[in-house]
Amino acid sequence: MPNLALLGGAPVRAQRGEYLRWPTVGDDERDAMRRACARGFFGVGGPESERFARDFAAYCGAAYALPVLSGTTSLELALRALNIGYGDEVIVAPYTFSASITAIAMTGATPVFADIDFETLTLSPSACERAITPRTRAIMAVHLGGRPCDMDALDEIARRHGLPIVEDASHAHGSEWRGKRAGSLGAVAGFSLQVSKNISCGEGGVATTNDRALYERMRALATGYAGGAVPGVEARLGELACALLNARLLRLDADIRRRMRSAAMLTEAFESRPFLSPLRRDARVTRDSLHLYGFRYLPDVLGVPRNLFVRALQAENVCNVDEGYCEPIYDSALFADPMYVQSTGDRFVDPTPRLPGNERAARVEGAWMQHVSLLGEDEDIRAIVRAIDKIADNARELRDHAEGGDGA
Amino acid sequence: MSELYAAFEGPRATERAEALVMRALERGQWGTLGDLAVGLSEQLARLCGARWAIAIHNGAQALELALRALNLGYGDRAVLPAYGAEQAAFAVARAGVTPVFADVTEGGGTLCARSARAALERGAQVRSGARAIVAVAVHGGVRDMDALTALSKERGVPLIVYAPHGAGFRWEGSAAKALGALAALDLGEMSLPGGGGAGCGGALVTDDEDIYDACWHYHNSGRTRSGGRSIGGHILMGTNARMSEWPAALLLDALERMPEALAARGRGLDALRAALHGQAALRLADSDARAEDVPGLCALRLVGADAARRDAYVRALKHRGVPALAAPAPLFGAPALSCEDFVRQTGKPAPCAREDFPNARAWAEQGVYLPGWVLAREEGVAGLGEALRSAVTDA
Repeated sequence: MPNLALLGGAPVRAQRGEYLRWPTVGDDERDAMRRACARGFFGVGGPESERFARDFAAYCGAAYALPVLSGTTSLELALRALNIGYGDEVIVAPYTFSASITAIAMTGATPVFADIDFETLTLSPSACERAITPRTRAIMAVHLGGRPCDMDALDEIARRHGLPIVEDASHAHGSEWRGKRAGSLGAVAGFSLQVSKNISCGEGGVATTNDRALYERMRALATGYAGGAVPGVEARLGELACALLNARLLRLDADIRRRMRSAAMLTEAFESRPFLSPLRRDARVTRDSLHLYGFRYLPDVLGVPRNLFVRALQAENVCNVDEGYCEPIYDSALFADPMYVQSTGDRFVDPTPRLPGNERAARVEGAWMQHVSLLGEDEDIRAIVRAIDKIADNARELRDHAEGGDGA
Repeated sequence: MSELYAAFEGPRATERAEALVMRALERGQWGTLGDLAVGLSEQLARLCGARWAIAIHNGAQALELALRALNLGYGDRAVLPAYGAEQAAFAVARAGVTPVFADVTEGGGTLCARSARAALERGAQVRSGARAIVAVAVHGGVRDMDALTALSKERGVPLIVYAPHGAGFRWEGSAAKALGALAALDLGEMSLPGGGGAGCGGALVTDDEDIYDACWHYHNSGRTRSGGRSIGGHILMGTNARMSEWPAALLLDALERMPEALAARGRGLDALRAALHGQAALRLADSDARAEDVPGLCALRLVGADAARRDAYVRALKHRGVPALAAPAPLFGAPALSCEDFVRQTGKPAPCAREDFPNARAWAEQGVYLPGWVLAREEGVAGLGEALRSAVTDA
């Protein structure tokens, strides 16, 4: 009889905990939505939107925030406000959700990939600098999983080359670099508020900046008023979504505190297990939203491939775990899509040779737990560790399973 | 709050709409193709007599995606009406496409097929001719649908129907005949009779499966229909234009009430037409025996007026408690169509700045808008007709 749940054994937890469900709903959310329904105005530019813009900007330490339709839209608007478009290049890490890339392509600009530091899963500053060309117009800093990029180094490079930094803060609501919040670390930032995110309203996004002129440009480009001086297309977020966000913002800090405590427990455990490697510690990351708890799984130690390890851990009912971005985005069909070609003029800066840090993270070692996995109690985190140890103790079952041809 | 909505205080959410919102909240499925958004898509397809519909954030975004899905982009051109299509022109430009303007019909104010043909012929003289025709249902429907459809087929240029006011309008008894290759609906604020202002919402509607597939992955962050919801897998070009559950709840409720509201507006419009009969100075947008409009707004012209007198007329109407607005300015010569942002998006300013289109100019200078719901008030439209008539003398 196998021991591992994946192979038919008893899981560490008989049932998945309620804390693994997302999003949570409480009285704050219920009251907010009832009030918004009673008010009866559901369009754009209403009081809920104004309140969320004010409060979220303050939360990020930014002067301005603009709630919009999606995180992709927030990034696209940020780039357009910087006057980036057809013929320009924007440097971006490939270890990211495709929206970072398509937001660039939607403007007509070309995404240019620079490698990641595989120990942090974020943009390598030295690779970024090597990717700069005369056509480069911006650096997109993707705070993957909520962990800020090395903003000291990127900022220094950006200043030296006269380039703005656009933060892709889709995962980084509340993260900090040297005590300064994501959303105020670059020229402009875009956040996702899609339902899986740490603060969410279903579908939505928000752009933040400290630059009044940039804010005004984003607002004009996102406003569908008649008679505007610029070609604005309506992209602002409606009142019901903003009402929900106003309620969600109230619980964000408590959730982050819980996640950081859980992450510290996991990191301590991972450091003593040779087949796991937590992301490199950096004291300058003073707060991490931990939308994803990223880590590296070293498959050679147990002799078990990553996909099998992840499936085995998932089956133990203790966390939501994923292999991450397995296929490097530069190898995806996106760049051959006629719509991409039409948008950007068939420009794709192919990273040849393959970017080694990204290849290692994507194809071999990278993995993450989703943020809900960190929202349980201490005992729930200890259960994750027990499940990991159970898999290590029974790795032979997985190896035998893989050799039997069932491990793909 | 948009000026149009602010001026037109409409009805509020019903108990059913609120119940749908609260149910979606409790289920936690707030977005990413939730049940309500998917259900709305299915109902919109039925409303339009089409095989496929996709709920989108808003109508302008739907139009941008329509062009991108038809593989139009930077350097391409599309024919648009020179009146009542500002958001359409900006959405087209957002896709990198340059609008080429054509005149509208004199009575209906929508794209004139003869003028569209002339615009296509002008476009054929340049290296990149127009690759789409965009008709705009600005007053609740499109006139000239037969001729526009024939022109589209003859030239092999797809016809896109953009409906900021008029989702589900019918042509010769068929909503499907009013779609073109692909329709981009705006479902916000005043589009759906009975809606009461969902605030935002749009849809793409088509009978063509290939176009539907392209629209699908473009609206769903590049995920194909067969790719499921995973973050990896087969990724193509796309953005996130998915509708969340909140506007979907409001719009589903609106759709249920739409037939009754539409009938009431139709009766009101007939009564108003009768009330204004013989008033040479006032002319409602023409009806057409082939068309069944969906009057999100009620448009009329102050015949012979210039823009200043029309504006005075609108002020006189407001003084009488009538929620009226001036029709939008003509598009040719609009600063936004030649500004730096526009040129950045499309590579060139819109090529019509010096052209003139008499019908578009007439509608822009003389047009007056009333919200469609004023046609369906319980007290009828007798008072409205009287206000419209008497205000002429004050203007």
